[in-house]
Amino acid sequence: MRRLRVLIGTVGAVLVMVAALIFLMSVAAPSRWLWVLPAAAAVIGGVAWWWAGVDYARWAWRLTEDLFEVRRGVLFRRQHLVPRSRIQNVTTKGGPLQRRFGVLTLAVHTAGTRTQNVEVRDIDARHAEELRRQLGLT
Amino acid sequence: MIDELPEEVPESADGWRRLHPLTILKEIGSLAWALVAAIVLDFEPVEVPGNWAEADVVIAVGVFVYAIARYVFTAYRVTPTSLELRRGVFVKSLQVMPRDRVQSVAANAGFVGRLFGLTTVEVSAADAEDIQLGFVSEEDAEALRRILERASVAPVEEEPEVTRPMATLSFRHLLLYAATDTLLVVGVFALAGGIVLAAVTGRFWVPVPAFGVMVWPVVRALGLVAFRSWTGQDRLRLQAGVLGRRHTESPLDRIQLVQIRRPLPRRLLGYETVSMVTGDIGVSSDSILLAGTVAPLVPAGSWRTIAEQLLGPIGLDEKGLERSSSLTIRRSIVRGLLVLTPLAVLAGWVGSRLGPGPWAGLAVGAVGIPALVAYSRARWRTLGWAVDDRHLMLRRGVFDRRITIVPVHKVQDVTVRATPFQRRLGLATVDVDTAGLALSGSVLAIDLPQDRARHLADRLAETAARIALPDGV
Repeated sequence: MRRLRVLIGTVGAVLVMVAALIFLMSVAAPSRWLWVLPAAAAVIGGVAWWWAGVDYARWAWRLTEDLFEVRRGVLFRRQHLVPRSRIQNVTTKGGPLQRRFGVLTLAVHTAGTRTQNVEVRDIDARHAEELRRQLGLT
Repeated sequence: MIDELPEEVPESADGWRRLHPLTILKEIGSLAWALVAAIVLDFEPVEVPGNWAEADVVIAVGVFVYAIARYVFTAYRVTPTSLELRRGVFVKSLQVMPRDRVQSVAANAGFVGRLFGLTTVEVSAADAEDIQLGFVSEEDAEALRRILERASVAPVEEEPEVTRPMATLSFRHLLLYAATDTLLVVGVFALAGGIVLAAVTGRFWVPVPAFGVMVWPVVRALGLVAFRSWTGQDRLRLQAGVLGRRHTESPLDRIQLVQIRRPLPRRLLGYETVSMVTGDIGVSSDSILLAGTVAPLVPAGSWRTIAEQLLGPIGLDEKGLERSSSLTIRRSIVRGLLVLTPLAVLAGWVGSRLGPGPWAGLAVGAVGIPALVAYSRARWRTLGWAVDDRHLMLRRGVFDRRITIVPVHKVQDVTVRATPFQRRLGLATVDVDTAGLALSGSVLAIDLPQDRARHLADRLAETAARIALPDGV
């Protein structure tokens, strides 16, 4: 799954950024600047590859007796601590690719009004269902 | 308890009950645009051919018929478990609010209502649309309030009501409250500046926008005329207003946090404001004017009595606040420079175009940098946090200083976040989330050393986890 995420992240970033660059250059730059394109693609690809890898590796969760803890973020890092007795609902969801590879995203919600979803991506499907049951039980 | 219900709210056979007949007035009011259209048609200068001449009469009659129909089709009932409101002539709707979700019940008598002794009852829940019942007679409103609030409070009905006054606002203090509103002070300065500018340039309209700035503080103050707050039977009650008087109450255990505000002008005169936040905004969705203010203007330091009346004994005090890392001064200065530098460059550029030369830029720097350093140091001295097993106390704000007190069991989740810049300095910010709406702003402990941040977050989350709440709220 990690390899897939890195692949998707890298290819996606390169496609989007290079498309934007092509548009900009077609508007503003003379054709002798064409060499910028592959160079930019390489740089963007490199950064995106690194980013996606770190992103995947940083994403971690832990379940203790009292707390559900999620840690994530590449540059802006955050650790969410959710008391299990405050959990209002637990959601598992999976896109087509995720389902193809047997993983799910698990999201936990509290009655808190500002914190965005506490999410863990790409948990093994059976494990995610099990976790959902555990979290819902308290 | 369920058997008592029929005695409290008079009911028809199936429990459904109409609003007061004068509600038709309100319905007509909400269709006023159609009446206006009818009148416009009447004044149509062009000769309207055929039957169109009577269009205005048709519209007017239609409005009255529709208003009456709307009234007839609107009914509410209180069942043992919920409050239900059904309405709609063509499109029917049924709103059901479980009684144990009721956050607050407010009786709001507008000017028209008070003429006839009628009120509008607003029932709000944390996670559902408000239900408005209006008009109902004052007796019905009182009965509704009693009956709906009983579900949300432990059954202590037989106990005689012991009320403890909390705060009042005399007329003199109301004026003082308005005068120490930061926005009003800003408005007054803007007005003075505008008048000077008008005198210099000869354009009389220059000061006019300053009045716009002052409208909101004045409105805010007007909403607090004859303010009174007190507690009784584990409920907080607020009352304010002369013409349109409102009376709001909320169970004390629904309070998510208490905030003490000391905006600069108020602080200089030795006063502070105490407010609270429940799961709804302030107390009730449309009461922005009151916005959970429980003591508009009290002498500095008297917050403790008030906060303890709302939250129970508080073991923390301002002197015991732990400071953020002093590295936060550095971050604040760097952030300030990001604004100041372009400003100085701009001033230099404008200066060199208009005469005084690029020195203007240096002048901005010469004034700005010391001011920035002083501000950053003051900010660091203001930032503080303290926690014990029952409460979390946070202080921030150089100009708009506020102390937030959160009962630890109201904490929903805790996030420790760190930007790359914070990580370089070994800092992190703790972000505490409650079910109280964002009106209070973020509840943050800013720039703590990373281990302290982690320690604080763990302690909050673990203490909260051990206190089970009925609905988790």
